[in-house]
Formats: sequence, structure tokens, C-alpha cells
Amino acid sequence: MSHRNHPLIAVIGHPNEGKSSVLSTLTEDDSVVVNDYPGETTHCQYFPVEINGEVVLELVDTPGFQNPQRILEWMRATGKTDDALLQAFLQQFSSQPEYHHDCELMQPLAQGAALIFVVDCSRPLLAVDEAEMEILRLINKPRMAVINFKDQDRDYLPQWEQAFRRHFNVIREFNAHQARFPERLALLETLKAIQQSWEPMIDRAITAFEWNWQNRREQVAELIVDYLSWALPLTVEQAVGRDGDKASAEKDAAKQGLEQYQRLISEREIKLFEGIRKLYLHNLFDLRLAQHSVLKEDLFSESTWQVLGLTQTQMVLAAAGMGAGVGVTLEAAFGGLSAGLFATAGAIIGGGSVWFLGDELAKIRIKKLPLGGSKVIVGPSKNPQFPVVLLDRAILYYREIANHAHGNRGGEVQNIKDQSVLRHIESAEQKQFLKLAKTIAENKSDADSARQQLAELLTATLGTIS
Amino acid sequence: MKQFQDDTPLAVDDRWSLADLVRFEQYRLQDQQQDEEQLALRDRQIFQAAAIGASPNLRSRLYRFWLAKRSEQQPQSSDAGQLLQHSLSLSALLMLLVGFASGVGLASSAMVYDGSVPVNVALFLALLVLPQLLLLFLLVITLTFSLVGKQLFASWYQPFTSMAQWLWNRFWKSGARQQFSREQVDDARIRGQLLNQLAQRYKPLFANRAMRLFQVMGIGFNLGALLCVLVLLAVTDRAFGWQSSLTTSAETVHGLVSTLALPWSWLWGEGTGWPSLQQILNTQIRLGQGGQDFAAADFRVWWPFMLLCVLVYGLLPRLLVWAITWLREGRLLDALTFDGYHDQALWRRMHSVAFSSQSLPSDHQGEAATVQTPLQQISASESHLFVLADTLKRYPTAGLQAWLSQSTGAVSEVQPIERLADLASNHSCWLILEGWQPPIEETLQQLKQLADGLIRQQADLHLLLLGKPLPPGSDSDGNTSERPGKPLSARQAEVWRKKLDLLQCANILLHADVDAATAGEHL
Repeated sequence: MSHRNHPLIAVIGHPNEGKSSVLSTLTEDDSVVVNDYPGETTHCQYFPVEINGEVVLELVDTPGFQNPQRILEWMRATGKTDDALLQAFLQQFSSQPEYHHDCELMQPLAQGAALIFVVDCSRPLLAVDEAEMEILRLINKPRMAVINFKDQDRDYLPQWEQAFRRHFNVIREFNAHQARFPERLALLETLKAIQQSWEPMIDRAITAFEWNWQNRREQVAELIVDYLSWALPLTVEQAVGRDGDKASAEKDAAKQGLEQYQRLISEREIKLFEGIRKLYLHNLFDLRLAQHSVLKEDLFSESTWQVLGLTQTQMVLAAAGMGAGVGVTLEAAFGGLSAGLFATAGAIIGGGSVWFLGDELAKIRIKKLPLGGSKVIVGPSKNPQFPVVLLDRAILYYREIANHAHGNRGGEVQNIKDQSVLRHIESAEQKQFLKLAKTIAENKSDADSARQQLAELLTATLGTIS
Repeated sequence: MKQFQDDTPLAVDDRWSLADLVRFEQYRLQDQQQDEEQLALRDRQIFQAAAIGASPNLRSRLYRFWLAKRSEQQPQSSDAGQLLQHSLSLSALLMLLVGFASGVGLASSAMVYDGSVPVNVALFLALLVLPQLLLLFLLVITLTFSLVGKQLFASWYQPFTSMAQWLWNRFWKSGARQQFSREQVDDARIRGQLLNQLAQRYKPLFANRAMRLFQVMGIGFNLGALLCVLVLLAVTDRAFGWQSSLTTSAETVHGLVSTLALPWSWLWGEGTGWPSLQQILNTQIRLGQGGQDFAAADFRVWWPFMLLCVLVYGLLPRLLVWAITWLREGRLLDALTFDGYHDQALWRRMHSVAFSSQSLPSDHQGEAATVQTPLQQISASESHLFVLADTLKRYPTAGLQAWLSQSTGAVSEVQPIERLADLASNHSCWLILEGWQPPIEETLQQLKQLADGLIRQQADLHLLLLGKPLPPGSDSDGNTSERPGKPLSARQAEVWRKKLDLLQCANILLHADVDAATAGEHL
């Protein structure tokens, strides 16, 4: 029997059914080898769930069955069951290389593990599956079945369910390629039904998973607030050249300053994204964004500003009642008409900047220097959409990353049609976001309090999308 | 999750000082560059070592303990706290000296006496007392506002800090262009950030300390003035009188003087602590008139009045405010709650749980294989064509045969077998397998046995791989020329080729109807 004080649960199944994917997603471990070459997992791999150094739950990835029909035949011939059968099997076959995988997968069971039998129910039930389930029934360990759909095909499900009813008391669906945090928690909750005595330990593990998830949300909120605190009041200075025509030298300096302003913010955004990705433990694989994801677009591209941020109506409603936001409100509402206001930035960057909702992206001032010459100062941005677009992109990136299952190695995160998050929250929250961003941008004495409020609001918003 | 232990007191002094705050910010600034996980581990350990029970202002005590531990673990080579302490002491000394020198200078100017014209008390009061009275008035207003929560001095102090930061940045910016190294400039920038953080986060504290420094200057000024007057009085004999263009009325002056003398009137009365109306009349300096005819008893009463004015309206308020700011600093430090935005991360880290669900490292690798077994085209099938009976449950026989006839150009009879071991043939034979399923060891071993048996007869084993069957209920019987299932993906075919390659059976020939659309899939 087990010398462990915590639940040990082996994930068992036929090769290529997604055992490693299930574990990778459940434990957020992208170091697990997941691919479609059968026999990739040759040894048991242990996933201890540790809380302050104490293991409260241990999951084991096992190799797939390689000789189910031969083993079943042998087992039936022995007339044994339960642990006696398991021990006899290991004694008989552990020295035979062709049974290496089968012996390896039985090892955790010999150590007292319960088991999760993982099957891909998008395929028909085969004779080997029947054999594997019968082997597990004969060994008689606490067990449950997890249905992992590798394809969307559900036609074979009734067939499988019928077979499961003969061998398992607990059955749960879990799509290792799409499971989000609630689904992961639900699977962990189901583990309690395998063996009642493990309930307290599994509860502790679940609490720790929940705490850890919430903690990471708070950290993401802080990362985003720090990013906004840096980007919103940002100014860039560019010396005006002394050669040639003064007007064109100023224009060149303004162009360079604006480019630098945009580049700095884009670079800082990349750092933010890296931080979020690291927090969500997507370390090893290069996640590619969906083909039409607005995150693939540059922060200052037209499509970004069309897809993200608030609509003009929302902006008017959100800005209303903000006191000093009257100008902002009017700009938001009629920005497209007030060509003069965006002419500066628009002309400077060479194309129209209509997508900045009529207002210029960042203030551009020319300042004379005491010892002669002048410099151009770009920023801070007074555009009401600016903080909203920055926020929306950060939240969108979080949604993509936090909801990307670690077992999904396709490299594509979900393609979600409605990309803006902020357009779909309550108007009162939109107003609150706008107000706090404004306070942070102004960097006055109440900015610290605004940061804290924004972090709390963001944590709550992130909680609704992951 | 380890929680607070019993109410064991903290092992270190849990009171804060300004220097501690600077050190605290210095450590936190350094932490911004560190890995969050490492920080969480360290701060969690410090939290657990704190062993502190629930108490008021718990966060302040815990953070003080954290600072003590951090100072033990990683002493700063350049201790910003110590630097601040030294800077404040030096500033206080400088301000005291500057104040003292100003006091001496101003008092000696006001006490100028060449024997012809008496020292003008009105001028003395205007220079040394009136400004201090104005300052006192402002101070009272400030303190009154602070009682209702409006920190006026803090708002006056803001421009000073902004100017200090601007000067600091300008200095290093210009230094960067000249003699300072990049590292020095970066260090200075970090110190600038530190200053900025301090100015923002502990504004009332630093405003209070700035106020205290100004009081030191005031104390120096008044001490200087008093000392100067006393020394001059001790070594010279001077006559005192008064003179003003605003009024020539001795009654008005007497009223003013009596009012000013109110604070000490209980101790020294008229004629001692302040001049009487007659003495004021007798010591009025008139234009073109010297002071030789003033009676000594009349003018000598002025200097105690002057000294007492400086003492009461200059020195004592400064001392009082200095004491208030000293007490207030202690109160402000005790009342630190550390609940601002920037204080949350440390709190979160201290209360964090070391959580991991990651796999233990494993050295085991999957098996290696290279692709050598070639994939054959489906060609004319010969006499023996076998299929497992279990497979036939998923692929209708009629459909399978029709597809084979169409694909190979020959009519073939499919012979069902229960197990691979049942297959017995002395001639080359075809075996239909479900290629969409990965080959497992028992299948491969049985194929090897079959191939070994056939090779002795110089016969081949043709494996025909089928793709995934169509789901139950899908209408494939209507057109029997269609393939019996989905085509095999290139990837599935490749997996079989690799696995068969490991068997090293030259007479196994692999046939599959591969979906061209999946040709790009590779291992």
C-alpha cells in the first residue's frame, strides 16, 4: 500500500488519448511532452501539488497500454483480482521489455494510486478499449473516467457511456485543449468522488489552486496599472535641428518625437505581455495569436483603435459627469468633425489619424531653450481613448493567455470575435475606468489611491473573463 | 497555509524612523528588478519568522520587521537611510548656523549706535519682531487648517520638492553630458526615483521634517539676535529711543507696547518689563535731535522689552513649533498604515502560499525512430485479403470491398479473422488495419511474427491502413464507391511507417490512402 499521506492519482489510458494533455492543462505545465507520436511517454511522470512544501495531491502521467489484450488474457487465466493480481502481473512481466510501458503504468497503482482513465470519445470504442477497462476492473482501484474530445465528433459518446457505466462510477468530460480554469477546478472537484477519505486533501489543493489563480489575477492587475502609470503621463523630448528651415526642422523633430513616443509605449506593452505570459506559465511554447486577433496589430494601427476602446457613444456617457471631462466629452462625440485638433499628429505621422477619434494622440509642444534652439515635447496623451485602448489590449491579452490550455500545443490562442472587453462591461464601470485613468495620467496627489482602485477594479474585471 | 503564531512580540524594535522609511523604499526599489517568485519565497519566510499575533497597525509592525530582516540579510553598501540621517543633521546644523549668522547680522544692524542718535526701537522691532509675528500668524493659520485636515504647509512644500527634483534631474542630465559615467548617472536616476517615491508616499512626514528644519533656522536666528544684543549691551552703553513717520502719538505707541508686553506683564510690570507712557514720551527721537538728553532711567527700560519681544515672539514660538513637529513626527510614524497601492505587493507576497503543480524533472525521452519503411501505392490486391472481425463492425463489408475493387482494379474477397494470430498464409497476403489508431506493441509484435513466417516463404505482408470510420448513422452506403472511412492523415501514416521501421521486417509493405490535404504534417 501507499506510504504517502496524500492522494496519488494515476492518469491511465490507451496511447494518444490525451493523458499528457489532460495533465498539462490541469497542472499548467507546458514542459510535459505532448505530441501525437504514440509511446512518447515511456516513464511515469509525477506532478506533486505542493502547498508551502507539503504535497497535498500527486498526479501521475503514465505511458499508454501497449498489450491490453494479451494482458487481459493472462489476467483472466490467473483467476486473481485486486492487489494480488497487480503484484502477480508486475512479477511476471517486469523483466520483459515489450511489457515495459504496461508495467510502468501499473507502478503507481501498486503504490496505492487511484486512477483516471482518459479516453478520446470522438472515436469509436475498440476491442482494446474494452480490454483496458476490464483490466482496470480486475485490478479494482478507485477510478473514474475522463472523456477528452480530441475532435468535436460526439457521435460515439453513447457507445462510450454505455461501456463506462459497466466500469466506472464517476465520469467527467474534460477538453484538454479548451479547458479554462473553471473546468480545471471542476475536474479537481470530481476527484473527491473517487475516494471519500481524500476529500480534505483535495479540498486543500483546490483552495490553493483558487488562491493561486486569484493571486495571479491581482499581479496582472498590478502589472497593467504600473504600465498605465508609466505610459499615461509619458513625455518624450526631441531637440529641433538648427540647420535649414525652422518650420521643417520643427516638423521633423515632432515626427521623430512622436515615433519615439509610440515606440516606447509599444516596447513597454511587449514587456507587459511577457510578464503576463510568464505569470500564466506559458514558458516553453511559442503561442501564436489567432489570425484575426487585433493583438497582432500594432498598438497604434487604425484597426486597433477601431476594434478596441469604447465606442463614441460609450465614451460620451462615460466621460459625462467627470467634471473636467466636458472637453473630453465633446471631443469624443464630435471628434471626427474637429479636423483641426488632430491635424497636428495626423500631418506629422504622414497619414490620417482619424482613428484617434478626432483628438490628437499626444500633445506636441515646442519649447525654446535658454541657450538658444528649441525642443519638441511629445505627450502626455490627452486623447480620451488612449488609456482605454491601452487597457483593452492588456485585458484582451490576459484573456487570451489565461484561457489558453497548456495541453493545447497547437500554438494558436482562441480567436474571439468580440475582441474588446471594455465595450461590454457596465457603463458605470466604463466611467470608473476612465475616471481612474485620468487621475493616474494627471499624476496628482490622489494618483496612488486611483492606482489602488484601478487595480481592484481590474482584478474584478479579469475575474469575469477567466 | 501558515498563519500568525501566538502573540509573541517581534524580535526587533518595531518603531519607524525617517531613515527606516528611506531604507524601506531603497529595498523595495531594488526588489522591482527581482524575480517575483524569489521575492515571494523570501517575504513569506520573513512573514513566518515574524511570529506576531493580531495587533493594531499590524502591517506597520510587520513591514518594520521585514526591514530589519532585510537589513540583516542584505546590508546596503550605500545606506540611503544613513545618508538621509547625515543629510538631515548637516542641514539642521547649516540652517542653525545660517539662522544664527542672520540673527547676529540683523540685530547688529538694528543696534547700530554711534553716540549721536539712540538705537531706534521701532526699527529693531520692525526688523526682528514684526516678520516673526507675521510668520507666527501664518503658523497659527496653518495649524488651524491642519486641525480640520487641510495640510497647508504640505501644499507649500510641494513646489520645494518639485524644484528639488528638477534641480537633481538637471544636475545629472548635464553631468551625463560631461564628466559623469553612465553608471553614476543611472545610480543618480535611481536615487532620484527614491526621492520621488519618498516625497510622494510620505508627504506629511517630510513636510513636517522640512517645517522642523525651518524652526531650527528660526531658533538660530533668534539665538543669534538675542546673543548679539546681550553682548552689545554687555560691552557698550547705548541709548534707546523710538521714532516713526506713521505716528508721533506716545499714547498709540504705549498701547502697542503694552499689548506686545502682555505675555510677560504678569512677571515684569510697566516700567520694568515695558516702558511707561512717560518713559515713551521721554524717549521719542525727534528730527534733528540727539539722544544725549534722554534720562538713563527712561531709555534703559527699552532693552528688556526688546529682548523679551525677540524671546517671546521669536524664539519661544520656534521652540514650541519645533517641539510640536518633533512630537508630530513620532505620531505620524506611529500612524503609518502602509495601505497605499505600492504597499500591496509586499503584503501579498508575505501572505503568499508556495504553490506548485509542476512536474518533477524527468530524463526519460521517447523512443527514437527514423522513417525508412516506404509507403506503397494501393495496387492490385492478390488472393488473400484479411481483416479483423472487430474492424468490420465499423466498416461495412460491402463498402470496403467496393472501395478496394475500385482502388486496386481487382475484385477481392475480404476474409474476417478474430485475432491477428489466426492469420495463416503461405503466400503474400494483405491485411487491413485501422491506421487511424496508433500501432501498439501487441499489434506490432503480431505483425512481426506474421512477417517472419512469410519471409521464409519469400512472401510479403501488405498492410492496408484505413482512416477513421464514418460515424454511426452517416450515409455512406448510398454510394459504395466511396472510401469506407475518412482518408488517413499523412501524420498517421508516418507514425505507422516509423513504428514498422523499428520492427526491421523488410517484407512488410505499407499501403494507405493518404489525405493529400494533410501532406504537410511531419514529425
